[in-house]
This record gives sequence, C-alpha cells and structure tokens, in this order.
Amino acid sequence: MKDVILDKIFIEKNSLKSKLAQRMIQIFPKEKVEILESEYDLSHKGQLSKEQFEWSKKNLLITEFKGHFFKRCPGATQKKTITCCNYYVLNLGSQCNMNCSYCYLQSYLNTPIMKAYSNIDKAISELREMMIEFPQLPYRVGTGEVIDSLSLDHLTLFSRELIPLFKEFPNWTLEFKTKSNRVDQFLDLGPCQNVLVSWSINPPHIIQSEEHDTACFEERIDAAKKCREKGFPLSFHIDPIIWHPEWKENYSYLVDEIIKNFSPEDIKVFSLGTLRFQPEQRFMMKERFGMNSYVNNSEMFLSESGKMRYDWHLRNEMFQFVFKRFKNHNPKWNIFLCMETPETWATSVNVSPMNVPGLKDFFRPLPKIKNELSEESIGD
Amino acid sequence: MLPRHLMQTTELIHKSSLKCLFQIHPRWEENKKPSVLLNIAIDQVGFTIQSDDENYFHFKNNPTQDSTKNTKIFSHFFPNLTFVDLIMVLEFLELHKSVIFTPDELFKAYQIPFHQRYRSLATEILALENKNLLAWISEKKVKPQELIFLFNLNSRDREKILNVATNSLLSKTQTLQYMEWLTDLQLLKCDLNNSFYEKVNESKLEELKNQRFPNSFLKHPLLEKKITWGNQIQAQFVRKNDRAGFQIQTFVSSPEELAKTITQLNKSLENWTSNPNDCEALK
Ligand code: SF4
Repeated sequence: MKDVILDKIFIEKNSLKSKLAQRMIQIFPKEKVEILESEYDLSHKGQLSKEQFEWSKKNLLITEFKGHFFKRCPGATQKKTITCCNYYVLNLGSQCNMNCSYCYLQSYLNTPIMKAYSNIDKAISELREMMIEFPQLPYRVGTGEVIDSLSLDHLTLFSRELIPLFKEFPNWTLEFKTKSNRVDQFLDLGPCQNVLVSWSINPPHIIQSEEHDTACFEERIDAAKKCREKGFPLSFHIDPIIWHPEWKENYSYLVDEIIKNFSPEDIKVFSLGTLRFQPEQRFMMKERFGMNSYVNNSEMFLSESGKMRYDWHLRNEMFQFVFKRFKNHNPKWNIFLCMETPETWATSVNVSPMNVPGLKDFFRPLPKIKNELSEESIGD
Repeated sequence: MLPRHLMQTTELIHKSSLKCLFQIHPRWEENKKPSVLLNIAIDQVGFTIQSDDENYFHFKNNPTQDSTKNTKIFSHFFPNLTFVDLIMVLEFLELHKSVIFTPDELFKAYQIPFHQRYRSLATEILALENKNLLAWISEKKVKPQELIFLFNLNSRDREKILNVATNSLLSKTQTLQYMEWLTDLQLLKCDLNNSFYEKVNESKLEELKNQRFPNSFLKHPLLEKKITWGNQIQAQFVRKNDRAGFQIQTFVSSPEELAKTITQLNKSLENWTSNPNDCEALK
C-alpha cells in the first residue's frame, strides 16, 4: 500500500498540546505543518466541488470535536425500509486519504478538509460512561463511518487508546473497518476477543479499477491473517458488490481465496451489500472517475430507500451467488446483508436476520444512548 | 403580505429619483408576475419597490448587517426567480457596487446553494440568448444542481445539450434524464445520430435509453421466461423503481370465471417457477 500523502497538516492552537498534534509535529517535516492561531474556517456550505473534495483528501486538520462522539449507525434511522444491524459509530475524524469511486463521502461530506480529532479523551470518557451503565449489553461500536478506521492509525494511534478500554468491557465490541493493511501499530495489544478487525473487500480486479490508493487484495488478506495470529477476531464485508462482465468469476475467486485462507470460526461475521449511492452522488462520481468506471457504467434505479441501486433481480442474483458459494463450502459461514430491504433479505437468503444463529444479537434492539434520548425529547 | 417588522423604514420616493431600475424580467407572463410590484430599484444602500398604486417602498438598511432581512423582503416580492435570474440580480448589484445582499444569502432564500460553477453556468446560459431555454428553466423551476452533469462537457457540447430542452415534449424529469444520458453517451464517445438532438419525445427517450444501456430492460430475465397468462389475464411488463415485474389485470363477473382465472394463475405460477432465474443479460 502506498504511503499516506498529505500536503499539509493544520493544527488548531487549542489542539496543539494534544498527543495527536505532538505526534504529527514529530512525524512530518516543519514546512508541512501549520499552527493556526484561530479555528480553521469550516463555514463552507453545501456540496463540495470536485477540486475541493480532492484537496480535502490531502490536507489534514487537527481539531477538537465539539458534539457527541458516539452515535447510532445511519442505517438504523431508516428502519422502515432498511434492515440494519444494531450498530453505533464513534467518529474520530472525517474524510479519507484513500479514493474509492463509489465512496459515499462524496455526497455526504461538506467539510473542505480531512479532520482528525485531538480530544479522543472526551470520546473515551463518553464511551466509558455508557459502558459503566450497560456493561452487560452487546453494543457494537465502529470507528469507520466517515473515516477509514485504520488507514491513518499508524499516525494517530487511536487504536491504542480504544483497545485497552474495550478490554475492560468484554460484552461490548469494537470494530475497526478498513481497506488498508495498517495493523502493526496495535498487534501487541492482542489477544482481544471483542475487538473485531474487519475488511471491506472486493476482487483484485475491482480493487484495481475502483478502490484507488487502498491496500491490494493480498495485502488485506495478509493483514487479516496477522490479526488472527495475534488473537483478534475478524470480519469481512463484501461490499459493495459491483457488477461487471466477469463478476461471477471474480467474486468466485474472492470467496475461494477467503475459504482457502480462513475458516468460518476465524470470521465472526460476513456482510454483503451491492453498490448503492445517493442519486446526486453520480455527478461527482462521473466527474472524478469518468465513464469507464464500473460504478458509472451500470444502469441504476432509484429504490424505495431513496438510493440508487441495481435492479432488484440482479441484486438478488448477486447475493445468492456469493451466499451459496460460501454455504456450499460450509453452512457455518455467518453472512448477513447490510443496508438491504427486508424483501431482499427474504428472497436472497430465505431467512430473516433474527433467525440466523449468531446474528440475533446484531439486530436485537438495545437501550438508546444518551444523545438519542435527548434528541427525542426535543422532538416531543 | 410582507411582515410588518420587515417594513420598518418605508418612505415614499418618486420614481424619477430612483438611482437605477431593475425591470421585472420581461418574459414573465402577466399572470405570473408578483402581484404587488412593478419595478424594483436597487442602489448601494437599499432597494425600492414600486407598488401597483404608484407608491414606493424604500428599504434603507445598513447594507451589510441587514443582508438577511433584505433577502427576505426581496424574495417575498420576487418568489419565483430561477438561478439564472438570481445571477442577473447579482450582476446588477455588482455593476452598481451594491452590497445589499450577499450571494450566499440571496441564493439561500430560494433554496439554491450558491456556487461559482452555478454562476458560470448561468452566465453561459444568458449568453446563449435563448428565450425558450430561459422559459423552460423558469417554467420547470430547474435548479442548477439538476444540471451538474453538464459540467463534464465543453461549452459547445453543453450548448448542444441545453438546446434539447427547448425541443422537448417530455416532462421535466424525463427531459433531464434524456439530457444526462446524452451527456453520458457523448463522454463515452458514442456516435450519435443528429436526430437525438432534435424533437424529443417518449419514443426518442426509449431509443436513447437503449443506446445508453444496450443490454438492459429488454433483456430483463423476467422477459426471458416464457410465462403464459391465458385469455382472462392481461400481463404487462413494467418497472417500479428498482423492481421490474408484471402488472396483471383481470375481469371476472361470476364465481366460475374467478375459479377459471385462479386455475390459469396457478398454471402461470408453475410456468414461472419451473424456469431458473438468470440475470446474465443485465447491466
Ligand atoms: S476507503 Fe472507505 S472512506 Fe475511504 S475512500 Fe474508500 S469507501 Fe471512502
């Protein structure tokens, strides 16, 4: 995987004393680091242009986060149409230094710079408070919603702060979700049964054509093996499955490689998802990646959830294909469809998530977290 | 009616004293004109609106502090401006060095984000001097975000595709879809017949769609299944969002006919399930 290329690191004055800022000052040459006397101007409104979006991938702001760190996964707010796992997100920054053609950040972000939060101690205390209140409940917390969990972790070392905390609360699960191979910085903290390291993975051909600046297929598999050896449970997200003329051959290769390198016991959970994006995102995708990209080439339709998706029959066929290839090998592979409609669930795999052993916990409703409760009372 | 607190500094000024006059866009049809005003004059420190009864409201505000208030008043009197109109207003303000609104706030009042790219698109559209195009944008309330796909083209090709809108018999959504597929095909360097740029109707849309996705709809796996529906049932293949399927219709006037239909439906079901699913043709 290529080194992280950052043109500039901006550090706000009130973050200067943080561990994160100090590390950045140590790692990067002087001319790349700029200390800001006042807060960085984030007043930009609306969608970013292509140029702004690309600039934001190469410039990092070290700043304090002022809101709630700990939130419910956005899929959970679309309960009527989407089947979503009980998933919470801990955002320790935003934007990503890698560059996937389908990345939802292209329509989601309106901040013109990549951010890493310097006050991780606040995030930890927010989490600890919840953990003390509900130590027995199986909350799942992911850090890869608006930033890749690990692609900058060798610089930020956030994983080294989070893993010891989760070790204290074994019923809670932390999930790092990545397309990088940056795991060496935390391996010595293993074994740790409740820290799941997960890879979003695609066949080599798709990685090469659509997932720019990410770790290649073999690097991701090797990194996963390293984590297994050090006692971290693994998970894979074959997501987004992307249609292309040789999709069957290429996804067969992917499944077979996973089967060759791992056993169902190694992989706590598998999720599958097909390509989907907000309708307005297609403009940015076309502008940034051109018409030869597979994501811009396929016919997509507006689905009930408001996102563009492949034809329902095609989605079903893709899910069934991957699902069956795993199950034919060994019925023990734990697979679920993330962000899919209940009908797709029923048709593709003929089961509801609540009936899949091992998946029940992911979908079981859990008590609401503090900021959800306060938002509800404002609404009342 | 404009809320009273927004009308605090109202004075009567005679038309002749107006520094400059912003005429209501002449292409507005009579019945679409805002009811209260005829003219609006903007100067460096405020703006004046001439009402039907020959009175003038003059809003003399602290220009920079009252930008939000000014936009509220302005959008109240001119509720139906397009992004092209708004760029004209901005250019007018700049010409007269007026700072009564900030571009961001003016656009926000019309729920359109302000972007330099939208400005260049509007300027380009104005330069075309194509009244039909302006009328289409106004009538269909086209927002610049809906035309973003045009930015991938050079200005000559953009003009060609914008012109399509003026020859369209399709709805706004269909026209925009048509223009977007045309853009995609141009970017894919497909050789397109000139007729695709002339009169646009439903059948052209279908034709263009087949060019854009040659393996799509017509080869849907459901269509490859030879399902027989019988005489009592009319089945039509339709798409609803991301799902395609059969819309079936029947008419019965007796329990016997209903029983017959149910028997036929059961046969169709058997027919359907005996064919394996195959989506290979889909793109
Ligand atoms: S790795 Fe994830 S966050 Fe980063 S560009 Fe790809 S999809 Fe986006």
